[in-house]
Amino acid sequence: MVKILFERDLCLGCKTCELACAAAHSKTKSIIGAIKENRTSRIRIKTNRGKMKLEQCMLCKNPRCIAACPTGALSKDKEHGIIHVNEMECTGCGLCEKACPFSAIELHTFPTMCDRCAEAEEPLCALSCPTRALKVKIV
Amino acid sequence: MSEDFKCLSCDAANYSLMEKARNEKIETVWDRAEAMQPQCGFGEMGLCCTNCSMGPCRIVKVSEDGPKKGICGADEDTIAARNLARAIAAGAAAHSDHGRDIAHALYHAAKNPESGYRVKNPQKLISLANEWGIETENMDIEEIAAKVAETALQEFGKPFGHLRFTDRAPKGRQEIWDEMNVRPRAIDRDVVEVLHSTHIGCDADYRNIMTAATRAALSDGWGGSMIGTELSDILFGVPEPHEVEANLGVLKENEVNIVIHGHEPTLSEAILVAVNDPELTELAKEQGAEGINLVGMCCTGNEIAMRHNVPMAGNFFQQELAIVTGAVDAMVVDVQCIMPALSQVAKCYHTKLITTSPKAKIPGAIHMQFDEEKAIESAKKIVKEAVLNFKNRTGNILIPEVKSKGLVGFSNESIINALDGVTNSLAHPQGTVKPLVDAIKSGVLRGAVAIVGCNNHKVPQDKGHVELAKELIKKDVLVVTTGCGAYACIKAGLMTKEAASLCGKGLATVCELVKIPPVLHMGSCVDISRILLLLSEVAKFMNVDITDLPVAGAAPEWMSEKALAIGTYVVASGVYTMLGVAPQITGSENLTRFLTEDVENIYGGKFHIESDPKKAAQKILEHIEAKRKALGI
Repeated sequence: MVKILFERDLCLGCKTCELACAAAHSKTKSIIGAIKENRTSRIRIKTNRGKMKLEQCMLCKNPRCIAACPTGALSKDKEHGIIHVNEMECTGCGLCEKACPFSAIELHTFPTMCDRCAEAEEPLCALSCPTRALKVKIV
Repeated sequence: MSEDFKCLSCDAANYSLMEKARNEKIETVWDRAEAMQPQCGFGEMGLCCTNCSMGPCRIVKVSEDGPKKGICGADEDTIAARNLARAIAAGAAAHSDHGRDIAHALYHAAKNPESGYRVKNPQKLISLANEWGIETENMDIEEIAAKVAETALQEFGKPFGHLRFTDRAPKGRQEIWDEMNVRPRAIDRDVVEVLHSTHIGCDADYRNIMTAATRAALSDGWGGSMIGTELSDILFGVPEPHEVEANLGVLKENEVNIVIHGHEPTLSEAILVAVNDPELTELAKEQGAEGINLVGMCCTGNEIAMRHNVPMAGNFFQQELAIVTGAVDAMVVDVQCIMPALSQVAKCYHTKLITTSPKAKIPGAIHMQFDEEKAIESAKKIVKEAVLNFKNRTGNILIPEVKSKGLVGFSNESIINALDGVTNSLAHPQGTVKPLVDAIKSGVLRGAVAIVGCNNHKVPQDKGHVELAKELIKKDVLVVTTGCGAYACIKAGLMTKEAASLCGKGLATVCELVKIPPVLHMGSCVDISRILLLLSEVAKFMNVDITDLPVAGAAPEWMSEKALAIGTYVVASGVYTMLGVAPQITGSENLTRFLTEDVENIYGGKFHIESDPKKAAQKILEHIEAKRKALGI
């Protein structure tokens, strides 16, 4: 399983990770491609009372999103721990978005959440972070 | 009313409108500021460089292995200094281009009767002509005006020499400028030189970059801004004290409301003539309105309030809320500090947003170009557009009842006039700053502080200005103010004679005797040049340099590049300057130390950064007392 560690004090809020994430999930793997294809980021840097806060799938042991899904459209990948969405089953109700305690899910027709860049060697958010506030840990 | 609005603004007039905006889903500056969090730390520290296309480059200071140099090799000091210098140059360019427009208007007044402009103060014109060595005998006013305008315009691009107005500074100050090689030569040249030297592969020494930036800043304060102020006084009259109303409560439900917003009095003065045109007032009545109500916003509002009885509707953070009232039939804008967001807000109401300057068009706004060669004619067309829009008002109108009154119009001439009121005319000559100097020397007045600048979401609106002013007047420090700071103070009632009750005994007595409020409105942001001249007058009278005086500057809520230019020329003129919001330089310890410590050894002035108004006041008071001690008073 790929864990992503967030060191809040190193983060400067530049949001390079968000751009890299959107680009990584575009067809052309570019920022322009992401904008054209309307790809959104699956990681978000926000603030909470002036402190940096990360919104990203935490690969929960007992994911509340799966429990909340009325159609059984969400499932957990046994090997990687990431959440898969069965788009045939999903009705886009948004209950998973509400259930996630980390605000890690955003509904864009279907729920989108971090897949740890399943197709790439390493999550692009961590790779792009200029201050190394995001670090990858294999567990 | 939501309590959270109080954290965003200290102006009670805003709360009902912020609520209205929220209910009507109108996005305001505070909403966008919240959505913008977190703001990028690289930009905040001044460590992001986009000066060439090898970049963007960023210096990473928070981790060991992050890059410490840009691709060209520029380090944090170079990058932060280049970014700051470019911002200062942009600020100087904005003020000075304003000055250039006024000089053009003076030229039109002289050469082109169709413009509608006339010289209103020939005395000040002749005095400036004499100062500049322009022949005035046997010349009519128009000839002199044309010569003065041409000479002023040459200040922008003359190939040799230095700016004429720098000769007005005390001798000691001029010597420092010459020694440091920062005496401005020609306004455009000094701005261009900053752009050149901060180009990729040019100046990499942060101290030398700041030398060029300081020269450009001085070309604003002692050049473009001063030309703007002096020539505006010649064209439109020297401001004299009078009472005006302030805050959004000045909008009138039964009249055509025109908000004039921006900076240059060339437009606002022409609009003022147009709203008093009998044909247009008649047209307003035909449309069902009782008349035309012209109100000002931001610095152009300051300009016309200083010279006429035109109410001051609000400062930078109230521009959207003015439209949210639903009672503004047209917001007429020219240049600087006009939020592009206005066009979206205007679309949600009947308000017509009218842009007038070829330098500032906004998508979604109606562009009606203002032609200075036919100023009154263009102004009438604009006002007609507003009047005809009155009938399109919906019932959705909310004008807050909050408004205040205050005395405005304190040009240096009118301050000296007021001082003459307490001069013993038998023993001493009239027309000097002697009574002011006497009050400072005796300690009745501890000193004076200029509170200037903008609104910034990083400070609750007006809190920085008002709390600082209140703390200072309580300790017998006279406050002068311009720009959005002036709006904050008049809205808080600090420009009334009654505000003397908030002062220490010394300042209260001075206010009573000289018949002034404790906070003096000296005009728009270009009018900070008035403050430079007043400081020069006082310093010359006391036979010292500006830096020896018990005075300080403060910009508690600054945000614009112009404010950076102002801060820099004020520091280089020798004045201790308090900033309520940190400039984007903190990534470079060397540059930060240079501007907050080292420059004091060069110019006598320096920056100090303090966001808490009470602590800022304390630091300023300590500075003032130290200067008094050094003067032996």
